[in-house]
Amino acid sequence: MNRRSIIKNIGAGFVGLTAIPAWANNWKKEDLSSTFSENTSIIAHLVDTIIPETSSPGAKSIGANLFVERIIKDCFPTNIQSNFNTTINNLKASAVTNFGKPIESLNSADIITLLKNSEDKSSISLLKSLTVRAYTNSEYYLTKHKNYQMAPAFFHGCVDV
Amino acid sequence: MANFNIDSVKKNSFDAIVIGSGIIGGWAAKELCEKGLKTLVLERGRAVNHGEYPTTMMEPWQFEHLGQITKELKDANPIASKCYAFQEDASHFFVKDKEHPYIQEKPFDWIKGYQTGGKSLMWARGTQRWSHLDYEGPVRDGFDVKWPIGYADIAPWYSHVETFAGISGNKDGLEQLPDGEFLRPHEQTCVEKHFTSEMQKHYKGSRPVIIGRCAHLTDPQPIHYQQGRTQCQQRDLCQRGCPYGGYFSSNASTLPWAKMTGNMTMRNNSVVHSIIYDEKKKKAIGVKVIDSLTKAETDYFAKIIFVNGSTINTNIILLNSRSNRFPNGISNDNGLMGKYIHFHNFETTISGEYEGYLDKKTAGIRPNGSYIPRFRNLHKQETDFLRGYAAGFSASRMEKTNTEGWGEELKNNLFEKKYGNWRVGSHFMGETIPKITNYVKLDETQKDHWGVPLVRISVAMDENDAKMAKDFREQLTEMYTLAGFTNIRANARNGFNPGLDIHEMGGVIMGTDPKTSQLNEWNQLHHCKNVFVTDGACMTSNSTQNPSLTYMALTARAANHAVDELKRKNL
Repeated sequence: MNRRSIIKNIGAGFVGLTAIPAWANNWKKEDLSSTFSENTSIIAHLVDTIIPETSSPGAKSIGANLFVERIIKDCFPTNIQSNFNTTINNLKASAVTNFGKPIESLNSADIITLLKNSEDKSSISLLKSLTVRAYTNSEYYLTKHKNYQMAPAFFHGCVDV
Repeated sequence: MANFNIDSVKKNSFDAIVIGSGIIGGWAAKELCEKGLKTLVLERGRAVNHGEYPTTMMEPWQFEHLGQITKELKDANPIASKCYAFQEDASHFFVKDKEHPYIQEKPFDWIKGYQTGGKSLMWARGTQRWSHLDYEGPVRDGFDVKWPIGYADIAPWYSHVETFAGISGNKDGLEQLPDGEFLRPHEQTCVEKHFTSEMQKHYKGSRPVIIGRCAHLTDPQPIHYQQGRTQCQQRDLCQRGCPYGGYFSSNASTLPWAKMTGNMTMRNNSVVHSIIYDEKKKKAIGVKVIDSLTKAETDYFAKIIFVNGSTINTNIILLNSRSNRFPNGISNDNGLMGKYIHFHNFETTISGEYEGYLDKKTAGIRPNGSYIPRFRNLHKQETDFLRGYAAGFSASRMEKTNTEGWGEELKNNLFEKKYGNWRVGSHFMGETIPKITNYVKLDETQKDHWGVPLVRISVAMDENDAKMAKDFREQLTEMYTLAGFTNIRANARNGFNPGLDIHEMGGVIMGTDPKTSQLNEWNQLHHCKNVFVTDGACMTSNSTQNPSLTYMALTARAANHAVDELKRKNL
């Protein structure tokens, strides 16, 4: 999936935000292109490995890579941001050292090996947990798997599992 | 020129002025407008009309940060961001730290909402009546100041506000938590019911656990439809504002009602600087307003003034209302205005698990929980601390998210349907003792953006609070153990300071004696009877209930008294 269609897909999630008043500015839609860094395509590749496309959508097609980049940039302190970037660069280097190929060309099994063996445990676990968070909050996961309803209009305190 | 002045006075004259449009200002406006008084409502914040809730229909995946606030916003708001509701979906309803600075002589987390409706948009909606035991508490336990009213005085006004606001609850028949005019209660979960029956068994009825009472339309009545509200859809997204009017807010309920009378004039962006006192008439004649956008100053005039600016702001306005007659703030002859600030102690929670009812779960969403009314020192002193605490309690069972593995293995794990144990949790709501040493006062030199002196806040917890919190941990541990709960953990709320309860009260308290209090039994300033204070500032003590319902009842009672007194030409 190319970058343009990713932007289009993610943009579809923001329908309805155009009518917001000016004072609600702390979550207004920013130009998504500002989210992208030099590692954008690699992060997309990584989240797609962590939760792959199968008969159901993977993390990349629900836009988890965009969320990972955005939340690290906007919500985490600079030391965690720079650790994260270092980790991505270390993964790039390990790909070449261990497999003789750039990371973009590695198959899933090889990338998982790199992720599991990385010494940057905290950044890798952050990458994984954010990928999972994006996936488990996606429209696909919540509506197709969790039977999510915004307004159930009922509550039963004790039903059979 | 003289004519111009007379015209402008006429144009700016009303029967009543209500300062603040939050949960209490809304009530004052409704009662006064309904009784035919031309009423000016002054709100310092921007306009938020019912329905203008920008995030209210957003799905979880539509938030750029899935609900989390950005580092920039958090860093800029070390105080506001401590509030549980200051998240991506509702942070726009909270006042940012730099917008209204204050001086903390001791750490105090002042959480504010400046807009039409104030904090009634984001409140937690717990609504329990006080009982006679609560109003009599200060007398029994020797507090400095006693309530000038008892339960019998306020009971009909609880009914009055409950009927209009719509309160969901169960008639539990408890002396310590009187029943009200209830809409259908929410249901307890299996494990909450289990806890209720185990506590009944072990404590022989002395520690009831009931379904929470809350301001939700579970079963709307004609009076609610007439307000333009409809049934609560049980989304539990209340802090965003509710397009259905499913919970009570000024925006959905009292303000539209007041507007429908044709008697309300609403003015936003209006910071009240002070109340104007006329020494010849010996009463307040109006208020001085600073436009928050243009900084222009305008005077407004009325026969009566309701001060409902929220506890701290109400104190600021009154202390800043200085005249020859009242050099220390209007009616502040005893010098005690601003003192006796009190709050609820929320510093502990206790969690656990239950391994029973593993074949059961819940379905749907409930914007409520169970509730443990005060059981300590109820009828007599029995512990080494004064007063007691209420507690929230809830038991729920979520699907487990298995995040083991990588790749397809992880994906399969995420799609597993598995439930963990039931999780139980309780939060502490401790009564604090009003003390002369806990105060707010105005800074001598520093002023805010609108020329109002900065407030200095000096409020702290004490040994009684610490002993009570310890007792909560011990008693709840015992109760959890008796109920068969495991993995019991008491958790200190790290960084809890007074104020973060958002139940700050006092400073302009009701009492029988003008030497020790500011307000009489009708919430009138002792020495300026046409000024009424009915928000949290008026509270003589705080007991353990969520306070808003009591403020509402006091407000409706005082407003109707004010109208009667105006008719009798006493004001």
